Amino acid sequence: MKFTSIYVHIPFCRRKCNYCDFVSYPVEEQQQYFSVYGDLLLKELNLWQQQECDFSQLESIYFGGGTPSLLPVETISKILSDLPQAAEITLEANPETVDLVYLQQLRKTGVNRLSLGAQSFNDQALQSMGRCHTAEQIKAAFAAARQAGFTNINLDLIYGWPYQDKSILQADLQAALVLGSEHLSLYGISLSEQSPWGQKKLAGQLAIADSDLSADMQEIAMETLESAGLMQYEIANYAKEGFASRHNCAYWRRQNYLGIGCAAASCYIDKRWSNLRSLCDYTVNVEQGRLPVCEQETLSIDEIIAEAIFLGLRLRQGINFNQFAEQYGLKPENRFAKQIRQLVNNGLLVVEDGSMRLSKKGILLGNEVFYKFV
Amino acid sequence: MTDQHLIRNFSIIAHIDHGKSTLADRLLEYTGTVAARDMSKQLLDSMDLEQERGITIKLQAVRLHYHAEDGQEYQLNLIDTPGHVDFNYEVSRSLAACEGALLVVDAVQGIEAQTLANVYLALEHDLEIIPVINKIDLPGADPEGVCKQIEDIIGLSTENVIFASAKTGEGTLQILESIIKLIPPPQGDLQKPLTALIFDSHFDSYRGVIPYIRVFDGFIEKGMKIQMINSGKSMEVTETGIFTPTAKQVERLNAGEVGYIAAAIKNVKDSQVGDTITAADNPCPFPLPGYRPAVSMVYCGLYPVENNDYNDLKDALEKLQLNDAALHFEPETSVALGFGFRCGFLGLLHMEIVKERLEREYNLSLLITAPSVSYRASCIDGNVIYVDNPVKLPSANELALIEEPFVKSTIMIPSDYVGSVMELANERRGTFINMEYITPTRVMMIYDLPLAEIIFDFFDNLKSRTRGYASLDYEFAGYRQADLVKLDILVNEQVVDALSCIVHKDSAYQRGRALVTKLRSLIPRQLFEVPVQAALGNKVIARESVKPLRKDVLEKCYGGDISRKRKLLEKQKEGKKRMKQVGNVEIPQEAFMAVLKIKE
Repeated sequence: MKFTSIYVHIPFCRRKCNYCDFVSYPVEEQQQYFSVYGDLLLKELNLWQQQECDFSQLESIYFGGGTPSLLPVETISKILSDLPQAAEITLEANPETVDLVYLQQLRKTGVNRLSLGAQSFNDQALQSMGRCHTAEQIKAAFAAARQAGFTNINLDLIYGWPYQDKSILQADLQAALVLGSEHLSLYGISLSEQSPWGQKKLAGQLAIADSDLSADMQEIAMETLESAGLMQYEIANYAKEGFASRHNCAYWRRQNYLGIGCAAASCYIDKRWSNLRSLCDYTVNVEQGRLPVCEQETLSIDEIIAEAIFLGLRLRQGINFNQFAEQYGLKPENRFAKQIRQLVNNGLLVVEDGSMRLSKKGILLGNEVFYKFV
Repeated sequence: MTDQHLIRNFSIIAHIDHGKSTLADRLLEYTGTVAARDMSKQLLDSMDLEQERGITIKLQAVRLHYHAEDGQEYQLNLIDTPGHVDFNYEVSRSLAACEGALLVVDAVQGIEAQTLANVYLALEHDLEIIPVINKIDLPGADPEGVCKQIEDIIGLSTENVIFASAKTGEGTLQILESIIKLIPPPQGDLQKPLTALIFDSHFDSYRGVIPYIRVFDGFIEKGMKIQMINSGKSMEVTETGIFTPTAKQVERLNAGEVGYIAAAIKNVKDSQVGDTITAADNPCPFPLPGYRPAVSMVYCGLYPVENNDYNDLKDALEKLQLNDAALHFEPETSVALGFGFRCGFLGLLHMEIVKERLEREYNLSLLITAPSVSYRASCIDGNVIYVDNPVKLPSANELALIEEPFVKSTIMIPSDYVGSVMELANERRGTFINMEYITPTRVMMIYDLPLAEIIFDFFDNLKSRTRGYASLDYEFAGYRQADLVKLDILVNEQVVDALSCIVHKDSAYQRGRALVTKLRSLIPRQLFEVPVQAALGNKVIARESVKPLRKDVLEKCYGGDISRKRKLLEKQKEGKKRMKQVGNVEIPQEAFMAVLKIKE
């Protein structure tokens, strides 16, 4: 099995944010698991290597979470030394967890891209989200990262949170632009019922941006960021020329990626699987030398094609018909002629130069396009 | 073989919730028909729907064996009846197969509208009625008071009244003994040619139509050649049996007995409820009176969400009709919805139940259009037509006059609520006929009301204005002229025929406004703005618009968990499938019922 990307999931946080529904646990309550987690990751990686996994053409490694910057640098270093060099190695960090020393050491391990979970530059909002940092700390972390030699930095921002209006969004965008990151990820808030805010929303005690405001905000962001030289290369991702995240694109291009760690997701040709979501199950399985895999599914050719289309359309460049036909042995413009025509008529899809891509309107209405191919 | 003088055929009649099904359970248990350990609550309400809603919809027949105090073993055939006003028709079918009935009245509630209606039905069939005052264990029970009501209001002797509690079992023995002593045994003649009444039937995928029968004269057994008198079809009996309450084969069914037969009847139409079965080689001279056909009170269009399901829907309706003789249907076509059926029902509950049964038992996804009554339209050219679909109403310049069906409704309430009921009846264009004090605190009010007003949430309204204390019964009283107009609804500038309705001119504006407002909230936002208008002829009287959808996209990446994204999209696609594409607009099923969901 040849993988070109590796995702490492770190399911620990100082505390859980109010909007979060990712698999992540407060580190203080999970010390027993946290203290051995680095060893488990190494062990799991070994288990995969015994499965004849080929990492020789690795392009990206991504430490995501949770809060990967809670890991000691030595752990990250050990994992990376077990793997071949990759062109892009990202680590997600929460601003309050990193200082210059940590970042300098981190840079030395080979990590060359830092993704800072800023979310907002509004202190009040940060506090109500349950974040553990202030706007000042974002700026400090960013400056330290630059000083440590990171020349490829991403900022994560969330919009549409309670009480955020368009002017607050503008302020957040401006603050991010002032820092001058190479990459920016921008997510509209979406609340699952499990999250504390989701619960409150369900009880009618919390209002987030409705779909109209959210649309306005996304349009503002698209305009503001593009005019600042950050190109929207994917629905939620913006980058300066040459800084689009390779790892991110691996997902949208259906490349083979291996996820290690609790709850990490993997994709290999027609197989998708997930690792165990409970820390206890994950730990026990890996300690006993078993692959911690669950929820494996094998996709039918139709499902693969559907995925390839709805993922490919997320990218600004969209889907090139010839390339697609070469890769999947099927001409999407024939198979989905009716859907494509309808979507073009509705102004959601643009077909030109042998490709199809979302229109500006279609970016905001992606699901209305995607489900047609499912 | 059981001698006829040891057979008793009886029904239990009652107002809804007065404990009819619980009493049936007690009788089954007491006679050992069903062992206590096998008892599930409300055993005869076997449909999921019946148990969920706590009502009896279908009648059921079950044979009990009772060892009476006189030392003899009796065969008791209990034919259960539904209690809701919509299902009067089924009650009357059960009663035709019986010689007697237990009239169950709640000791706290006293006589209700359905109590009266059911008693009149039983008297029409000449049945011996045994009053049972139930729930005497409840605090507030007033059996003597209720007894007096039975005498005063119904005019029934309470000489043989039984005080009982189906819950605790008190009075069960006395009920069984009274059945033996008071209800006359069947008076059939075993020597005469076979005469049997089909009072119900169901469809079995292996054995075909299974008619439930009451044998009046002669006998029926396996191998016998029989003929249905009305349909003229002949067939050979392959099985005879009884319900215990599960089906159990018996050698033959004799005069006076109740049971079922199988005769490889493939076609639903060959064995209609109400038909008389006789022997092919020795027919009886006259058919039994049978039933008057059930009169539909409410009509609506029933359409498959997927046009391809039309034939499945047709099949399902035919099979369901077998089990529900009061259901009428004929094909119709809607510009908006395609091919479907115009169906006639006894009432709204009946309509809902049919729809739910079709969806559950036949796995269909259905659209139901706003219910309508049948109007009588006289045209200028002298033609008179009945309009059960608003679309068919002739245009204003062809019409001489429109009449609508009126019902005589009986409402029973505590006297405190007389004012609120009068107010409601006036709002609904009712005419006061009479009012009578049943007791110093209970009142019976009679109103003439347009049926159309009754079927639209009248009962819900009545209940809420009387804190749930009111009961209602109604019967058709004739057609009356009224100032009626057709209200059209336009979605995206196109008339959606399935949303048209006929309304009184004075309430047209208000109805139109309420309808478009409701529709605006029911029609999901589309990719473009969708105007929703109400119009009388060419005149738009109300307008709302469904704003275009601007945003619907999954932004989050979930660390490469694409399966989650795909599942969300599949779910979205499923959701769209449940909508009907009308022109360019996707309209959800509920929207076609919007007219029922308008709160005043």
